[in-house]
Amino acid sequence: MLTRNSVKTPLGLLTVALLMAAGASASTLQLTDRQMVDASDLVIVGECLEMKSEWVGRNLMTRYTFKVDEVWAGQAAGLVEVVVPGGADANRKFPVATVWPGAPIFSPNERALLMLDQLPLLYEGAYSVVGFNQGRFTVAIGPLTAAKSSASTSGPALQRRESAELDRLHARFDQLIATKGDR
Amino acid sequence: MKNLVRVSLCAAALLAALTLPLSASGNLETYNISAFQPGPVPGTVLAPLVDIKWDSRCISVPYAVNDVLDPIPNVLGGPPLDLATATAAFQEAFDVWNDIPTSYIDMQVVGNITNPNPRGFDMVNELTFVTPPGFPAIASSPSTSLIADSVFVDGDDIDGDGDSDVSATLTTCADVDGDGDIEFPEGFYPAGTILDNDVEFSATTFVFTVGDAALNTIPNSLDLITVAVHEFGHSHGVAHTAINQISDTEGRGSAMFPTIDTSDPVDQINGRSLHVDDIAYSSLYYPEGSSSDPSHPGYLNPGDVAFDSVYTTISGSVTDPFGSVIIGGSAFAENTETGEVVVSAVTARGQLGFDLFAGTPILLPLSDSFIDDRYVIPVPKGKRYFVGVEALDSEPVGGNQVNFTGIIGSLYGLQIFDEEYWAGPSESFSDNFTGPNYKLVVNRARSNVNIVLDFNAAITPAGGVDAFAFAPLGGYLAVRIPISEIEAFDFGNGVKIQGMTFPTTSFDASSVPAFDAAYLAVGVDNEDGTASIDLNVPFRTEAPFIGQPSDQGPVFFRSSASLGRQALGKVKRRGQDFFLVLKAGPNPLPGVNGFPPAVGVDVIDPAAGEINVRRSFISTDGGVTFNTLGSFNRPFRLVVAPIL
Repeated sequence: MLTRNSVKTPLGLLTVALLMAAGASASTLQLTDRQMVDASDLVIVGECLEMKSEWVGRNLMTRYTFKVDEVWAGQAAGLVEVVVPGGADANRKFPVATVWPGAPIFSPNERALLMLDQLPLLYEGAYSVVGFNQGRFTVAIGPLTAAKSSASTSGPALQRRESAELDRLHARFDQLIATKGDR
Repeated sequence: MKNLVRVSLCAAALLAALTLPLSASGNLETYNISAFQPGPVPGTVLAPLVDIKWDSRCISVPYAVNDVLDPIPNVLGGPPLDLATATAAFQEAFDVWNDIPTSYIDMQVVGNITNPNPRGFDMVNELTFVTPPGFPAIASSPSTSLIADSVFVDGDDIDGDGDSDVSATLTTCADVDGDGDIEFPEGFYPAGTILDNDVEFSATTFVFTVGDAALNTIPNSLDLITVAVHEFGHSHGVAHTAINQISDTEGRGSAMFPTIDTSDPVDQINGRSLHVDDIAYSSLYYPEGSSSDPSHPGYLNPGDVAFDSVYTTISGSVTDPFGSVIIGGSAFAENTETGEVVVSAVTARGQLGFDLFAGTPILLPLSDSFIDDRYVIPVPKGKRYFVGVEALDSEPVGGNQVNFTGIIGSLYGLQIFDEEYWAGPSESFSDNFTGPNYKLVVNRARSNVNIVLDFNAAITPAGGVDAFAFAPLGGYLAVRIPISEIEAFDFGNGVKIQGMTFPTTSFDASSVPAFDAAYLAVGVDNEDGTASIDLNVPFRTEAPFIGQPSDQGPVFFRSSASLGRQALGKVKRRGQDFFLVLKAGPNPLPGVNGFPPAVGVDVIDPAAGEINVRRSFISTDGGVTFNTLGSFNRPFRLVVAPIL
C-alpha cells in the first residue's frame, strides 16, 4: 500500500493511528477519502440526465449532464457536465468504442454523489471525476432499471435504500468536507 | 441509417461467430451491437458484452515508442530516464507475456514515432510519456475496438484519417505503405477486435525507475517494468483481478491486481512477473495449439505448449438464495494442497443497452442484464481445488475496476455477500459449512459447479471500514455481539453461527496481515466501560489467523448449528455475550515498513448521529482488562443463518 510518510510513524501501543486505505494503482493513484475531498472543486449529489459520446481530436470522450440536487462542497446550480475518457461511435462505417480500464460509465437516471475536478482545458466549465472513478458513489440507479428489476428495488424500498446510502455517505464525508483544505 | 444497415448485414453474414462458446469474464469487455435487436428502451439496441482481443492476423502486435521526450524528465529532481533504457524496459515487460508457453500473444517494440500530442485512435500502437494536462493516472492502456462484426475490404479507412487501413495484399497486419500506421488484411473481424492500443505513462507526476538498484519507497516513484507488465496485460485484453494475496504465506498478488505498493520494493519486484491467474487468461484468449495452420500464431512451434494440455475449465453459476443470478462477483479456485488462490473469474456475462443517438451504453433492467449466468475459470488441470466466490465490493476490488460485467453487478448492488465456498453436489442456500471443504478433482472440464449463496447475515456494531489502524503489538481487539442480536435470526428452528470476519490489511503488500489468533469467546459487558472476556476456553480459535489485505478475512466454523444452540442456550442463561477477538503478534511485520498489521475501524461521527455503542474494546495487558473505545467501532462481523 502506498502510504504517506506523514502518517507512517508507528505510534505507541495505546495510540491508534488512523490510516486511510491508500495505495497506488497501476492505472490510477488510489486516493484516501481525505485526498479525494481535497482534490475536489465540487461535490454534488446529482442525477444523470443525458449522455453523449463525441470525438475530441482522435479520442472518444463521453459527456454526461447531471442535474444538481445537492451541493456538498463548491458552487453549482442547475446542470453540471462531467466528461470521462472513452466512448463509442456507432455512426460510422465501422462502429468502434474506446475502453479505458477503470474509467466510469454512468446510466440514465443514475443518482450519485460525485467528487469533481474542474477540467481546465478540455472542456470549459466541465468536470472530471476525481481519481478516474473513485470519486463516484452511486446511490440509486434510476426508476427505469429499478422498477423492472425486482420489488425490493422499486418504489418506497428504493427510496429507503437511497436515503440510507446518502446517510452513510454523509457520515463518511461530512467531517472531511467541513475541514477541506485545512491540512 | 446507412451505417446501421451495414452493421446488421455483417451480423447476418457471419452467424458462425455467434455459435462459439462464451468465454470467461477475466477479460476487458466491450459491447456488441451487431444483432441490432431493439432494447427495452426506445432508441436503444441490446448490446451483449464481448471480450476485446487482438485478431490472430495482428499477432505479433507492433508498438512504436514516442521519442518526443528523451530523456524522460524526473519530476523529483533526480536523474532523468533515457528513452533507450525505457524502450528496453518496455520490451522486457512485453516479453514477460510473450514468453508464456501456452499463449501465442506476441507484442514487440518495432520502432519510434514522433508525436508531440497525446495518443489517439490512429492505427498506431503507441507507447508514450506524453499525457494530456490533468491526466489522472499513473499509466493507462486504452484500446479502441470494433463494437459490431465487420468485414474489411481493400481501401477501407477504419480510423477516418483519409488513409486506407486495409490492404488486399496482406495476410497479416503490417505497415504495408510505410506511412507509420498499421494496415489490416481484408476479411471478417468480430466485435471486440482491437484496432488500436496505446499505453501512456504519466511523467508529469511520477518517476519511473529501471533496475533493482533504483527501487525505493518514495510514493511517486515506480518500477517501470512493473507498471508496464500490468498495462501490457490490458493491451491484449486482460482485465483486473481480485487476487491480492496468493495464500496465507504469500503476500503477493496477480500482476493484474489493480494496486501496487510503491513503498514496498519487494512488491514492485513481484509485479514484474506473472501469477497463474495472469498466465491462464492470456493463454485462454490466445491459446497455443489452437490451429493446425502453420501460418497461424496458435500453431504449435518448438517451445510452445498446447493450452489444452495444461489447462481446463471450471464453470457454473452463482445465485443468491432466491435463485437470482449474481452478476459481477468473483469466483475463484484455490489449490487444496498449497492453499494458493490460483485463478479468479467474474461471474456471469453481462449485457448492456446501447443508445444509438447518444453513442453510449446504458444499464438495462436487471432481468436483461446478463446473457449467460456462468462463470468460467481456466485452471491448470490434474489438481484439486476448492471453489468459492467473493463479492467485488471494493474490498479489495470493486466491480467497476474490472470490466463492464463487474460494473453491472456493482450498480445493481449485487456485491453484498460474504465469501463462501462451494459445498459440492449438496450445495444449497443453507449449507452447514460455508468454508473450504469439498475438493473438486479437475482432470477435465468441470461444469455445473453452481454456487448458491447462503441465506445468512452478518452482525456487526459498526458500519463500513472508514480507515485502518495499527493493531497494538501483543494486544487484543474485541467486539461484543449481544446474544439478543443472534436470537433475531431464529425463525423457530434455531440459528447457525457460520463464521466471523475481520477487516485487515498490511502496509507492505508483499507481506500477509498475520495475527497470533482470532477467537470466538464469551464474556460480559461490565457497564463501566470495561468487559470481562474469557480467553481461556474460547468457543472457537483460529491460530494463527491470517487476514486478507484491504478485505474482510473470514474464519469459517464447523458445527455451526451446535454453536448456535449453545449461544441461545448456555451463553444466554449465563447472561453472557459473544466476543469476537483478534490478538496481534508481539513483533512487527518483516516487510520494509516493519509495521504491525492493521485493522479496519468505523469512525464515529456524532454529527451524523453515530454514537459510541460500547461494543468495541481493547486490551494491552494480555487480555486481562478490556476497555471500551471512545471514538470508533471495529467492523468485526459474526455471520449467522436461521435454521430453516
